[in-house]
Amino acid sequence: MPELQPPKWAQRFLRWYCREDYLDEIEGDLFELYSIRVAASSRKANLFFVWNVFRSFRWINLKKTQLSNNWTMNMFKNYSKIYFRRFRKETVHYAVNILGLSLGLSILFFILMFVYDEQNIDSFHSKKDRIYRVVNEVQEEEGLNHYLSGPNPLAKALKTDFPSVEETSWLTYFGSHVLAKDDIRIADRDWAIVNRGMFDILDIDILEGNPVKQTEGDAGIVITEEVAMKLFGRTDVVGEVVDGSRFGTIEVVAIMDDMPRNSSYQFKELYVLNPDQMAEGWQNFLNDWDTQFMQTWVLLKEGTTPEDVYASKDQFIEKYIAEENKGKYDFYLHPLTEVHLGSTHIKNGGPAPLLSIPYSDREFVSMILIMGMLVIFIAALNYVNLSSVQALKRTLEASMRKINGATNKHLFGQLFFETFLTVILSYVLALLLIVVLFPFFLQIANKDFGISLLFSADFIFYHVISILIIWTISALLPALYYSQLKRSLLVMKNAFSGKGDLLRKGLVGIQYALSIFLIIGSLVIYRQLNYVQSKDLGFNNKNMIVLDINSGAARGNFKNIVEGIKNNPNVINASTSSRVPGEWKDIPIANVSKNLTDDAMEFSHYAADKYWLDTYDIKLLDGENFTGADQSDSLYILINEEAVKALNLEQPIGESVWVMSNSDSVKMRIKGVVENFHFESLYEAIGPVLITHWNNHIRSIDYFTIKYAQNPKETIAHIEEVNATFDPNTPAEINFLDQQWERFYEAEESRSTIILIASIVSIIISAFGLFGLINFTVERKTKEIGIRKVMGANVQNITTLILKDYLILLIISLVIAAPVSWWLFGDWLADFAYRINMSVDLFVIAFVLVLIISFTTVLARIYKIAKANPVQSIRYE
Amino acid sequence: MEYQLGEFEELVLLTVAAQHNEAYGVSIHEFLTEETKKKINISAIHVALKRLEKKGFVDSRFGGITEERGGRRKKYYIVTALGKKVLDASHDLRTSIYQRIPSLQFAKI
Repeated sequence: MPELQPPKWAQRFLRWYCREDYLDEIEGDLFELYSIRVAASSRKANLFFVWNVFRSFRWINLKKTQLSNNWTMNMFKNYSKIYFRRFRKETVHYAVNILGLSLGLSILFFILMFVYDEQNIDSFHSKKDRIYRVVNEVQEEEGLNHYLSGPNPLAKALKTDFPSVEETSWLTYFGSHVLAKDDIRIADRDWAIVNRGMFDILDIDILEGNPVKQTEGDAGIVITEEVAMKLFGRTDVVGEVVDGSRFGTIEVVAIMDDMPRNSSYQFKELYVLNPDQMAEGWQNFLNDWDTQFMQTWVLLKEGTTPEDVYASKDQFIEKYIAEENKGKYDFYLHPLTEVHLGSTHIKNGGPAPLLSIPYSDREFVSMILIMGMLVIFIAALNYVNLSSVQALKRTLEASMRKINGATNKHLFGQLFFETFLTVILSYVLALLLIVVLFPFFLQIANKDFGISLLFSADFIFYHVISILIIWTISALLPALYYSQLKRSLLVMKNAFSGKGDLLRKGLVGIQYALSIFLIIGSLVIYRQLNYVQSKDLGFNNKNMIVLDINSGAARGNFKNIVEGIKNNPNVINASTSSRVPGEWKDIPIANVSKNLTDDAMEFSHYAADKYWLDTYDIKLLDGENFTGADQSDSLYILINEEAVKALNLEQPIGESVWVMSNSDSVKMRIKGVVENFHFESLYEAIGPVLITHWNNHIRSIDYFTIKYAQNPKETIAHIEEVNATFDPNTPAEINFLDQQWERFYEAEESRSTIILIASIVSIIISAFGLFGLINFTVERKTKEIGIRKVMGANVQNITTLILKDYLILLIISLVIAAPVSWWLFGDWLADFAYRINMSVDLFVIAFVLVLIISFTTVLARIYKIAKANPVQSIRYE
Repeated sequence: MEYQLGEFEELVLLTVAAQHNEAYGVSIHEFLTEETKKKINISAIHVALKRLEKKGFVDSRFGGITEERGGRRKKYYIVTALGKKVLDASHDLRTSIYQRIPSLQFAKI
């Protein structure tokens, strides 16, 4: 009978890991135990043997690998010892290195977090790869435009006609709404209208109830706990009813959780529509292919792509789109993951729900990412410079090591090890900095996420990669220097060769060119935004309050309301209009032409009363304002200068033009010409504007604007009081006009601040580097300076001696950086319709700034050596 | 003199002393499992022996090759003078404290 053996693999494993000198005892004992047990049951004995092999897998039993053998360990011990000794001796040098690297690293990590968050907006939806918005391409006079609002029945038709479409839903917003329970009323803007399908498309967390429940009436509503608390004072309100200004009395079908912070939309109320139960007027509206109002969202089936939809798109458009629009209308599917960063081409406006996180664009995200990399690159260059200089100072050490048998490879490894220590120290310091500065970062970046992101699994990868890259970049050159030092130099104690001086200066030059480039960039961005915000808009947006008209009662009583509001010492003026300049809503278009047979031109249209121009301080250049006589005013219009140009009128006053609405065209007479005013973002040029009297055939009024002198709080109380007198059922929706206007620029402001801070840090890092280098130069020239002083040189001569080279270097960097930034940032500015000029003083400021920051850091050091007693400096060494 | 001696280490050391000159991994394992009626893993004994050896409480020598050991030698352990002293000290300490227990009558459990 062959002898039974324990499992071979376990034996092999044991022999693989176990120390040779312990093997006799351990393997022997395990075998012996096995042979005792094998008589009873070989299977159990086998298991027991394997178990014991694993239990013996302990640290003290392990074979010591090469890394932990004594030789290598001693080497690393020695390297670290030397490193920390040098650290103590050359504290300035190491401190500068570590500070520079840690500043660079923290900026890099902040930027990475920012970018990560930007790219993960809306990424929490579990079906995100299958969710699309329909973007409608419409061929218009001025070109191809992309709109979110498309034909109303699109959602329904997409689902029935395309087998690859799993679910569709509207996502629409009508302006303001009011929800009421008894005498509690709330009006907020974070609401939307959806179909039941939306709950299959987006991840909307339902806490209680059933959002897709069939309800009576036009719609059911899903609300958040916060809204429920406000309306009912409790959250178990599923099945209760609320009164809504939009769809009458509606049932609360479910309570939803707040959307995650990185959601583009923070819905507080979702109306779930019952399109089939709505009144005929609604039905007609919702089923009309010519009305392009609703935004449509689509969920594709698993395994299908938009291409499957596009394959039969032509037949679909042929089937539904009216004859006259064929060829002008097209649509495509815009992925959810593109919503935040890829929506800049979509034309603003339409009844889209309000974004809680404004769109950003990919260009900016890559810009800031490049910026972060530049900053860390500058920091790495610092390290390279300072350490290669240090390497030169370590001739003696290098030679001793070589004589004792170290090869170039060993010396190379030593510097890599030292760099690793520096990088790790900087990394730890950077993490500390990040933790301390995190709240400020959130504020500046206008973001809201936890610091845990930095340590999340996704992010640890970035940590490792950044450390590895910085380590390699930083270590390579100094290590080469250090290991290639000539052994013959040993004979000269601390001999110093000027080797690599040119390269070093080249690196400093690159560093400074990058810093100047970054500073010019942030100056341009900063100035442009400042310009935009302080530019004379052509109207007044300070001390203005906007009151939305949300009901027929307010609209009907508008004259009384205007007069009522005016009747207060705080109020300077009040007026009503269809839109307000700088509002988030799109400015509607009216078609205007000189002759009925001409092609119509598109004018932005405002309807206003006679107080409107005064309230907004819009200048009347020619002609007259409305008189206030409802009937006669209704046939007069005001236009802006652009409109005069567009209509090509010599003498506009008294001329007549045709103003068209959907149903009819009316000939109207030009009564006055107003100065151009910026009614949209300054990205866009001012177009022609048509101002009709409130009593016109196209559009009704929607807003009151109140200009106040002081005391906004009292003014608001007064407005609320007046509003309640004439419209007791709708709460006043009040906003400050400049706040609305700032929405346009809020996101950009936070971006420009990030860029500004990053570039300031980059100068500081460069200044650190310069400080380290000059520190070294000064040390090297101590004796020379002493001798010069003895010969009669004064402080000034000596300062010039040291700084001259660097000044030349700075000038060279400016020459390199200037044209590049001129070209790049000029290109960026070209996107703005109204922009600052790239002027020479930008370059002067950037240069002087770098000069001052760098030289003040080093001046103290130079001054000290220049003032020192020459006897001491000559005795040096 | 202070000696660090863990509870399990003490048991192993006692066994080594008791099985004078004949103690090795398996014998100690058998003995302790028998005496304590607990499951003890052999690797724990190996670790304890290594520690005791490092502290100088036991000495070791290699024995002959036997067949049931798969051609491996036995590693015998023997208590050193120092080890014996530590055991004595530990024993004395325990005894002296034990003797201070007043003779009480405990109720039968």
